[in-house]
Amino acid sequence: MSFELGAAKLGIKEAAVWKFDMLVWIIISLVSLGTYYLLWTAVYGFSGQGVIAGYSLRELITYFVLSEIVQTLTWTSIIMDLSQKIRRGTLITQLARPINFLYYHFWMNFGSRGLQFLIYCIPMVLIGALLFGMKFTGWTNLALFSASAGLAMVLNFALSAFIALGAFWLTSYHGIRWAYMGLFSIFSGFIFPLTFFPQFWQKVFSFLPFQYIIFVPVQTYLGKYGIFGALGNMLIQIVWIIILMTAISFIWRRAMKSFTAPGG
Amino acid sequence: MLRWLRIWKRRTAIEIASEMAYKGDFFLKSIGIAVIGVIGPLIALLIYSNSKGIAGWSFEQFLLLTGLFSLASGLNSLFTMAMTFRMLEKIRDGTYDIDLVRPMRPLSYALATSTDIDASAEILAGIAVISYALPKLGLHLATANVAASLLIIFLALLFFLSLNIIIVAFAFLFVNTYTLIDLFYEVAKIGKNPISVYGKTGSALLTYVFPIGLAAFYPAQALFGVLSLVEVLKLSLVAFGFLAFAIILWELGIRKYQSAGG
Amino acid sequence: MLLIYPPANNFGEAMAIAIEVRNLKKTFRTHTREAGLLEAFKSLLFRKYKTVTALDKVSFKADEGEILGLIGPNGAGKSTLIKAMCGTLFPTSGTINCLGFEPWRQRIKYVKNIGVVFGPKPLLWWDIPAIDTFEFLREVYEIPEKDFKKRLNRMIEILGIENVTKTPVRDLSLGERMKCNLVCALLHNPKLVFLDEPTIGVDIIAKERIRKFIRDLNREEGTTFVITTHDMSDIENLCKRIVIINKGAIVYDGLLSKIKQKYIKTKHLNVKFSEPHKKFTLNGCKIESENEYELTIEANLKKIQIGDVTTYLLKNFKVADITITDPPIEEVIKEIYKK
Repeated sequence: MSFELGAAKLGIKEAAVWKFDMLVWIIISLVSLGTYYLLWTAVYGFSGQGVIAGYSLRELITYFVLSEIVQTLTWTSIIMDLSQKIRRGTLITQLARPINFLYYHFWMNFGSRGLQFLIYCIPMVLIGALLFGMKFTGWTNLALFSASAGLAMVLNFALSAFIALGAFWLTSYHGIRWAYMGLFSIFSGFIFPLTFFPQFWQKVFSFLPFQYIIFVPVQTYLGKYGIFGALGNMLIQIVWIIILMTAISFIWRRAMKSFTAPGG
Repeated sequence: MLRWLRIWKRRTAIEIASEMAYKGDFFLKSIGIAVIGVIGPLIALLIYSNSKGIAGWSFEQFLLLTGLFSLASGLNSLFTMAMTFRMLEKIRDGTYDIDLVRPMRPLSYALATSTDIDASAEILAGIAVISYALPKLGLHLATANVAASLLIIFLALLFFLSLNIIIVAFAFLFVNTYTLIDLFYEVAKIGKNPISVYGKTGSALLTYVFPIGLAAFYPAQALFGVLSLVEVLKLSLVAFGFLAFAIILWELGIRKYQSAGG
Repeated sequence: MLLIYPPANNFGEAMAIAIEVRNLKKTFRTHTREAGLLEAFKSLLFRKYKTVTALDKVSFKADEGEILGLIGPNGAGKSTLIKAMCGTLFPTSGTINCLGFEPWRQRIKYVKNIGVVFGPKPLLWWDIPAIDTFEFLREVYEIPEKDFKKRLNRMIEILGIENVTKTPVRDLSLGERMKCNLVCALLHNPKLVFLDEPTIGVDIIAKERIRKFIRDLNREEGTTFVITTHDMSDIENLCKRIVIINKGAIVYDGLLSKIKQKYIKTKHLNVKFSEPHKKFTLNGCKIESENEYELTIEANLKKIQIGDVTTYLLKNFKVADITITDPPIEEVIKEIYKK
């Protein structure tokens, strides 16, 4: 069996242990979506307009359902894992293996995300469609969305790994992690579509990689970019992935030099 | 009662000393929490700058809600949430037995040792938002209204406490998992919106069955001066009732833990 | 259920009973799952359970003022027994009576009189000095200020930790932490103390201090100790009587001296040399393992005395170090079973 498949299998096994957790995650999403649904139905009702910030109610609900799905698909525990391993000093033993640590983790993550896709995303789509009126925007958009979401998964892994590298130099990571998660949820468009923000901020976001993890894939599904726009965004996702991977290997090598000195 | 307070005081002093042992961390954690505290007001801003908002609620009124919610949530994190994290960890590690060797009722001891001062940042954020929004509302703040509001915030704390107790009881009885804490947070967020948003049935449920309305909505109502004494009494009854329910589950859970050996 | 203490007469014969365990049984239900990806998926849907008997009709007594050793291999049921005696675990059947209490039924009243050290599990908070934890416990056990100070100082004196209690616990060595753990367990003057692995991982000097501490307290205050350990030298140093438990049942309950006579027939010597050693042969000795600078010998005590082996080694070889150990407790237990 190939190395990648083995790591993916391990990722699936770990995720399978948490069967109760997975049920709870679905309930959490239900609560979250239900709250958003009721809130925005009230807002749209009161505003009298059919469209707010460029979204109809149905589109907005679709946005929220999809952002949950994309968030689950792109999620990674690498920040937690790496900072824990560094803190406990177990990173060294992992590095003794002749396999690239991050590459290994990526495939483990891929395995567990694959499982999540089956166990979480599919029920979510059903719930979104049946309960919350999520709309289907056509096969082209779905295909473009899938490609964009796939790239988003790789991009989020790279970005998270990049952030995680800070653990080599900072003693406790909790504060940084919380700050990052808070900022991420805003900048990626998870909490709100970025079109709700003033123009200035939208410009700022477009220079950062965050929006390409959740906002862009979901917008692609909603058909907001057209085919060429969507493909152009995917190119930008790839560019960001390359930039981050280069930065990571550079910083990783420096970290290895300073930290694997005897006694480190 | 006095003894419990003395023990709580000691433990809190220890907690503060422990945190201060890592001043840099505490600072960073506070920043992290402050960032998360910004999200509530941000949501209010985004809704109201792109639409008319919610019927019957101006921007400042909605902002007040987010501030009140931060305050309630922060108080929960300060006094009661840490108990849940620590207990789940102790059950997982097998170190809970140490607590059972102390001459106190398990719940008393768990609560006395529950302080977590990281939450101070959230409370401050909440107070900051409230201080900004409240003056803009031009309310006549009678003492009775403020007192009622504080009472309801206290009831909200009791409710959060009940939820935390239920999570731990669940860990004893069924599955020990931190994911329930995530569920808690998500469910608590229901209380961020005015309960009118949830419809008539929803409002009733969120007042009399699962009173998350205590977190922000009802304290706001008290400040607006539209909460009657009868309603305050009803809310108190519901909060205490829920607490009783939670304690019963806890007792069942502890009994199971002592049978099964953990 | 109160235990009626037989009157202590002038000859000091009839001692009060501290612990009485009768037919104690404890069973657990655990779920099983085999390895493999398929099994992992199966467990998503349903679980298999099986019943495990941790304690099978265990009975024994301990008098007040005894230092009792509780020995057994890992998984033998020692921790289960200790937890039951502490009142943190309900028995499945049988009775326990400690200090006149039924531990789990009268837990809060009962635990005021006991102290427990659960192995290396920390009783202290990590980032602050031990003294803060002691003060905290003082509140919990409602110890009067004067008694507290007197007792604490006495214990600090015997254990030699004057400078240690003001240092954050995370900066202490394992030995110092264990000593502080002991103080935590004994601050409130308990009549009965359970020590689970009190010297594990601790250096020899600290070990001796801890043992002296236990002996002194036992002598001065009549505190009853139940000690579980894998360290036979702890047992030899502290306990007259031992109880050996294996697979949930008591396999031996009696004097340590008797068991040594009967069952410990060999000793292991690990010898380190300062230069490559010559061939070693001695009647009654078997070579377990060897390399250039080291030798592990098993000495048959029926055929030769330990003193003779060491004399021979020191006379004929350039010895750097000799460590003498008893065979592991598992071997002693195996011996008991052979009989």
